[in-house]
Amino acid sequence: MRDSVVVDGVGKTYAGGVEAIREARFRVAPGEFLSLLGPSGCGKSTLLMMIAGLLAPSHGSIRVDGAEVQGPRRDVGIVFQSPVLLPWRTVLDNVLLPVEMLRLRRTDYARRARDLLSMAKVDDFAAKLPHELSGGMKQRVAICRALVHDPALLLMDEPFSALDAMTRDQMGLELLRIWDVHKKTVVFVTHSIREAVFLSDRVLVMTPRPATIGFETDVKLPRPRTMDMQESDEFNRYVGLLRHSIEAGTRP
Amino acid sequence: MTMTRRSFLAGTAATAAAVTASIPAARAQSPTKLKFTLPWIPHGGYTHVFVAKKLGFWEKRGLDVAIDRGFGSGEVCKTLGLGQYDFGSIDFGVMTNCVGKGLDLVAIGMLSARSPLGIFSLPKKGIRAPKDLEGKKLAFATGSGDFQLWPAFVKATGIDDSKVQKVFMGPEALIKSLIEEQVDGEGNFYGSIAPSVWAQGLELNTMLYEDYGVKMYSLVFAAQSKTIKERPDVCERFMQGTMEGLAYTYLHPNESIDIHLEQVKEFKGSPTNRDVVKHGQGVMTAMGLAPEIEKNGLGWMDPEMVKRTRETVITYMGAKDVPVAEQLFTNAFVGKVKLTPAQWAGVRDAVKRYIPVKA
Amino acid sequence: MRGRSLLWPLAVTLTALVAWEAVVAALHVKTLLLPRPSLVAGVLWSRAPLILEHMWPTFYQIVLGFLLSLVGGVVVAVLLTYSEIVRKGFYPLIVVSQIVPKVAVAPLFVVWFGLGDLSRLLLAFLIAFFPIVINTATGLTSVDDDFVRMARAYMGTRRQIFTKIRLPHAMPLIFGGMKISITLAVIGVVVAEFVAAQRGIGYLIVMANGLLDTPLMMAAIAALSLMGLALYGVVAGLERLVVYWQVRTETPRGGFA
Repeated sequence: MRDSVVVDGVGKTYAGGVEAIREARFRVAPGEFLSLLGPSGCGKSTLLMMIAGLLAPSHGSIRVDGAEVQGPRRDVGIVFQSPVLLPWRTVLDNVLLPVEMLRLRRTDYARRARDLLSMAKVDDFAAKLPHELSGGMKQRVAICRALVHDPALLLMDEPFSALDAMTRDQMGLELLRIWDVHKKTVVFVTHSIREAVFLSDRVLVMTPRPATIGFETDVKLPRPRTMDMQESDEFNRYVGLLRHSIEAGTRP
Repeated sequence: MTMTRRSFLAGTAATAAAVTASIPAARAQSPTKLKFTLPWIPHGGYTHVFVAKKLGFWEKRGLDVAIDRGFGSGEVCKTLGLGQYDFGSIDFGVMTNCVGKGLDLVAIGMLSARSPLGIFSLPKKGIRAPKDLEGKKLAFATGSGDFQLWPAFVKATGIDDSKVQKVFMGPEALIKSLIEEQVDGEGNFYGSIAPSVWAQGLELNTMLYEDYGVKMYSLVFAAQSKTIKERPDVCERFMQGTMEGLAYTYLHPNESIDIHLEQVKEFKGSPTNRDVVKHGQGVMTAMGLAPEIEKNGLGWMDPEMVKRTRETVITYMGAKDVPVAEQLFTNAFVGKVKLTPAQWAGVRDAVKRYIPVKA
Repeated sequence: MRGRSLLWPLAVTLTALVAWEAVVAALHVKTLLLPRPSLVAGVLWSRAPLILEHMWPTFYQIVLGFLLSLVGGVVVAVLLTYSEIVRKGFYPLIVVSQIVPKVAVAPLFVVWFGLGDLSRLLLAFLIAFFPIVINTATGLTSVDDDFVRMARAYMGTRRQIFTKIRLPHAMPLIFGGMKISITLAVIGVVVAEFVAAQRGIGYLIVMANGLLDTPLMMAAIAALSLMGLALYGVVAGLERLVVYWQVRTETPRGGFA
């Protein structure tokens, strides 16, 4: 089966001459949950933006579902660090924004939007305005929005880092629950090692600028993942492995 | 421009006579719409135009005249000279100055033969003769005729101008500042200031420029020379109607006041306004009394006085390129409405108290 | 304004009026200088037909001038936002147009555009469109990059980004500009009427002043103020309707926020 995402020799140098990414090369299988892990400022968000088609690589290419990425695409959903909900729209209307942008028929997707909201357990707030929701709830709405147009690929840029630790854990579980139902390909950017291990099938570690993929490991923990898995030895072994590789900056 | 003015003005007298015969025909068509402007707010001195409108003196001659207020002779010269109005009333001195600046204006009838320009003060300030002005504070509106001719007054009376303190303000603030004694005296038009001050129950000391040698014409009716050339019949009809209104005002002052108050709604309802209109009308009538008018009919202008006014303007207002006096006026449309000597005596008697007495 | 919060300004106004009446009576101030409020109120009532007759042309001009400023202001703001040529070439000119005192310009307008409604309308437009331009342009350009990036990620076109994101985002600021603008439109029309009109509240104020009829003058000013207040209230009310998503922070009782 064709890979969902192919990143081939991609690099990015900014206008000022700063080389953010030297070389990134990896593939993502369909339905795989992949995390890009690394300290702040190592360019993982930049890489995600290039997959989303919001930034162009300086060299190399990216293919999504076989087609080369030349700009934003219909079959991609994205969640940012802050929910970025439009304050003048209700929760439901916010979720339906991609449908409007893509000029699809609202009536075809309204049901789906409501189902997503109820799955994210925020359907009671469908008619409310964003300022009436908590941070965690807003981010859940953002996730629903990213899924409303049934994209094949879900990109997430540190979506939970603005939330407190408890909400963060909750949201992780929610995300996995939703992902389990819809089985999208997910590329998840984070600087939290525990989060990367908990959520992913595979973790890529990016080195600091000029970045490359320094280390890679599968996470062979059983699914569905549960909170108490985080106490297990196997979990912590993965965490230790990744921490060591980050500190070393290279393969162990 | 010079050639055209001279040639058609010469021809107007002939055309006017020919045109008078055509007036009955004009009545049959729909009325000609005209726009007329006063020089300032519609105070008592301008009753005659409201009389002319109300009593149909224009209507019966096939004219539908809209009367607008003005914002000072200077502004009216501009709007009239640029064709935004068909006819207007303005100060002749200011008009001459504006003609020198290139505006197209010609006087077609006299309203106030005696110049109302002067210096006015409350009696308590003790200003009775020009010499008393030295050491006092006077208010002026810079665009007004009285300020522009102040140098002529100074020259004629020989007072020391440097000893007279002057303050400047917009024309609408003048009267109030005098009553509130913010100044000792001010330059103004007799017909504008006196009625308002008297209506407040106060007396006024009057020093008219012309009593001290600065003799010149003041309020006239005017139009563009273009109008005179292209529509002499309209000029004829307009002036006839206006002069008929003026005669009526002279002979029936009280009825005229009633008409004025009814036509200008902003006057109705304030207790002092009847007095203001009455005084204003009286003053304008008094200032219209002159031998040449009594002899030659209402609106007639004396060529010698026109010449004299023109010279004063050139000397004291710094006017340049002013055409010769013959091009500044025409008597073609006036002199047809006359009062009998007995009527004049009656008018003079009625406005006796308004004729300013030189101290 | 809710019912209760209306009480305070009313109470203060009434106290001021009573004090004014008492002072004028006690010091025997001339009516010409400062009439008693009871006299002014009496004139406001007895000469209401005259005042109303003059209010209508002023009101009509204000509303028309304001609407023109709104449309013109938004259009200019959009041009400034999206065209660098317009921004570089015209923005300084627009600023200069605001610095020139309108009272000075009014007589020129009369000479150029005549004594009809056009000069007054243009003067009102000149004064009132600037706050709309500035506020709208600020509102359109101050959108967080995150919003634009999110919209682009979902394949939003420039036009979609404008109508769905920039414009709604700018609404609170546009309404702020509108509130200023309506007040300025009132000023602009009335100032123009002082200098070049044959009817209107400004004309009535000048006439009353010329006739030394201070009670009528003050009654006209009072009527004008009430009209201005009502117009402002309409815009503020509209704002509450349209900009429903603004969270208003409550200040603690008895203090400043």
